[in-house]
Amino acid sequence: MAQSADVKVLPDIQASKLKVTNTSRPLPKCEPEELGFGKVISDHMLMIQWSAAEGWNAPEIVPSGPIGLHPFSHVFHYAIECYEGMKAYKDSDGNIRMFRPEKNMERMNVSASRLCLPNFDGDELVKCIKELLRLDRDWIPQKKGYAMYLRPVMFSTTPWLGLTQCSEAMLFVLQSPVGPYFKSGYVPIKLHVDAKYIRAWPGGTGNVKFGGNYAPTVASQIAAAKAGCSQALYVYDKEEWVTEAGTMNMFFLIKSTSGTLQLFTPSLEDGCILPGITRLSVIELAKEWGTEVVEEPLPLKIVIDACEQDRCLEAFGTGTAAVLQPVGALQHNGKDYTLPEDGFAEGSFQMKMLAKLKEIQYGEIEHPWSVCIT
Amino acid sequence: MASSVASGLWRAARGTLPWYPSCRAPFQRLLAAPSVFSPRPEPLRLDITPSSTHMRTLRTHILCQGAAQQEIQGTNEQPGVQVRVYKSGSQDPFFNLATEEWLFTRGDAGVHTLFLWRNGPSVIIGRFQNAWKECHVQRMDSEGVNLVRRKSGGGAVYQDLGNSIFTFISPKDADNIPRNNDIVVKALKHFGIDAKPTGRNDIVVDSLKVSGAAFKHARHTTLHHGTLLVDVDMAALGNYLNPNKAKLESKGIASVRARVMNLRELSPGLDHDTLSDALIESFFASHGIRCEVEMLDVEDLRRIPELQELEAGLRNTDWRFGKDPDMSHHLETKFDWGGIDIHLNASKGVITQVKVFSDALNVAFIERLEKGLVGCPYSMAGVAQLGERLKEEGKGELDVKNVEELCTWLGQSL
Repeated sequence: MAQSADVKVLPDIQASKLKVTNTSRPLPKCEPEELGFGKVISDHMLMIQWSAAEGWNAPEIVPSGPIGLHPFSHVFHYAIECYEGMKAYKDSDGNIRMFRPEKNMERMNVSASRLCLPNFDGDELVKCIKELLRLDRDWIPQKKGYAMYLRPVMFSTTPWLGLTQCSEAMLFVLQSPVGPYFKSGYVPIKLHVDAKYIRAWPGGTGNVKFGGNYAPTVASQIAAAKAGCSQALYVYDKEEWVTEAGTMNMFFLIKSTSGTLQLFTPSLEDGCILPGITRLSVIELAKEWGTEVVEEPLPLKIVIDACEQDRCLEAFGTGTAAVLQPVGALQHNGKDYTLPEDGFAEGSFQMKMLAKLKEIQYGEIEHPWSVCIT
Repeated sequence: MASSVASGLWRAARGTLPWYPSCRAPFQRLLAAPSVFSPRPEPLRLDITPSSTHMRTLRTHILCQGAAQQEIQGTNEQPGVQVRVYKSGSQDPFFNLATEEWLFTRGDAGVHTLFLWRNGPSVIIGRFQNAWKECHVQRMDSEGVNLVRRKSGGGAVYQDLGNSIFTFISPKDADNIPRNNDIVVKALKHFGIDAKPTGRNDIVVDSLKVSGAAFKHARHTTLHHGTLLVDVDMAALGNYLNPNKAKLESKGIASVRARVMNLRELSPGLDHDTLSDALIESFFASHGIRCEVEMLDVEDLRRIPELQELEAGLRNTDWRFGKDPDMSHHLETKFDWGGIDIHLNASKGVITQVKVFSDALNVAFIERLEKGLVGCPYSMAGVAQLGERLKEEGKGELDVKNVEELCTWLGQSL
C-alpha cells in the first residue's frame, strides 16, 4: 500500500457543526455612552480548537470567560499569535451589518501562514461569526458611531518549550461593543517621527497582523507622548520611508508643484505595511471619485517638502477602530509642521470620505461592501 | 316519475330553472304522450339528487320518450363489487381536473371508478411551483395554451389532445395499483402493443415510456391517475416549458424528460376513443362486472355547486399564477427529492414573510415549512429549532431525512 498516496484530509472549519452553549449568567450591560473602546466584552465568544492530528474541531459558541492553557503554550513564550480587527453595525432598521468580512478572513489566513499557524475556510468562519453576532444582537448599540468590534485571534497552544511548528492551536472571536473613537468630534493628532524606532522591515512581518509587531510599539508610543505627540509615525532606512502611524495606515493629500491634487499612501510591495481594509476602501473610493491615488514607496521628504511649501492639504490615518483619524501636525527632528485646519473641517476630502464610509457601513446606502445578516 | 320528482325538488331547493333545459322538449313530450316510445334513447345524462350532497345517489337515467325511467346504479350482478365508468366530453382542463377531484372526494367510497378524459393544450404545474419560472407564460397566453395549477405537489407537465388520461378511484386496497396497471397493459394488448409497468409510476414499451402516473390517498380511497401518450406533440413540450431549467439534467425531478414514445406509432388505429373503449372493456373484465358508461360534460355539471366551486378555484388567476413575491432574501437549491426556492423578508433577526416554491411531492412538508418560517429567528439556531418542531409536529407526514437536509442547508445559507 503506497503510503505517500494515503494523505488524510483533515476537517476544515464547518459552520454546520456549530454548537451553541447559551450563557446562564448574562453580563451586565452599560449605557452606550459609557462604552469607550474595547473595555466591554459581550456575553458570548466563538471558540474553535485545532490540532495537527485531527484538524479543526467543531466550532463552539460559549459564554465569554477565562481561557485555561498549558503554561508551556507557545503563545506565552514565542508570541505565535495573529489577530484581526473588524466591526459589525446595526442599521436604522435594527438589522446587523458586517463590513467586508471576507477581506479580514483572507488577511488572517495570510498572517496564519506566515506564523505556520493552520489555515481555515474563511466563508465558514464568517458563518460562525454571523451566528455569534445574532446571538448577542442586544449588545450591539443601535446608534450611529457605535458598533460591535470583533476580535478574531488565533494562537498556538503547542504545549512544550521547544520551538517547533504549531501542533495545537485555538481560534477565538471576541466581541466588544464600542462607542465612537472620538467622544467629542474629530480631534486631530500630532505625529512624532523618530527614526530610532523601526516598526517593520523588508523580510520581516510588517505585512501581517501578528501580535509580536505591536509589542515593541508601546515604547515608541510612550516616547511620542513624552515629546508631546499622540502617536508615532514610523519611518525606516535612510530615505525615511513612511510606513504607518501608531496602528494605522497613512494618507497624505498633497497638491503637486504643478497644481494637481494627489492622494499619497505608501505601497505594500516591500512588505512593511499592513494591508488595511479601511486603507483599501479609501483607495477604491478615492479612485471612484476621480482622485489621483499615488501608491508608491513614500519618502518622508515628499511630505516634509509639501508641508513647508503649504502643499500638504490633509493627512489622516485609517483603521477599523477610528475609521479615519485626522492628523493636525508632524514633529520631525525637533521641528513642527502644522497642517491647515480646513484639512479636517467639514467639506474636506477626509470628512467626505469618512461620511461615505459610514454611510456604507451603517447601510444607509446599498453597497456590496456591507453584508446585511439581519 | 322519479326524474320529475327529482328535478322538482331541485327546482324547489334552488328556486331556479329546471335541471335540463335541453331536455325540456322530450320531457314535455313524455308528459304529454306517455305512450310514445322513442326507438333511440336520448344521450345519457346525469341527474344529481339535491337532497343528498354525497354523490352516493348519482344515478344514470336513460331518457326515452315514453319509456319508463330506470334507475341504474351500475348493473351490479355481484353485490360485493361495484363499478362506475365516466367519460369526459370536455377538453377543458379546469373542468376535467375539478371533475376528477369531485369524483374523488364526493364519490361513493365503495365503488371502483374509472374516469377517462383528455385536455386541450395545457401546462399543468405543481401546487408550489413558480408559474413564471416553469413555463413561457406569455407565449402560452398568446397561443391559447392553458396554465393550470393542480393541488398536488410535483413538477410541470405539458398535455394536449394526444395525451389520454385515465383515473382509477378505488377503495383502499393493496392490490389496486398493480391491478390498474394490468388493466392498462391488457387494454394496450388489444392493439397488439406489448407494454409493461416499471416501478410504480411508469408503463413502458421496449423501455420507452408511454405512461406516467401519480397517486393520491384519502382515508378510504386511492386515486391513481396516469397519462397515455397517444399522439402528443413532443416539440410543443419544449416550446412551453422553460428550456433553461437545469433540472432537465438533474435527477429525480418530475419534469425530467424520459425517453418517451407515442402509442399511435405502434398502432395507427389507436386514438383516444378506441383506447377509451379498450380501457373500459379491460376494466370490466378485471372486475368481472359491467355498467353503463356515463358521459360528463361542462353544461351538465356546471350546475353542481361544489363542482362549480372547485372549477372556479382552479380557474382563479391568483391561484394559477400566484403573486410575485418581491422579497429581500432569495435562497434556492436542489435536493434529490425536489427543488426548493425560498423568498423571504427578515427584519431585526426575525423572518417576517415567506413564499416557498417547490416541485417536491410532499404538499404537507412545503405547507408546514412555509408556515413555520414566519416568525422564525433568522439564525442557524432558529432554523435548527424549526427543524425540530417540523419533525415533531409533522410526524408520519414528513420524511425526517428531508427535513434535516433542508434545515441544514437553510441554516448555512442565511
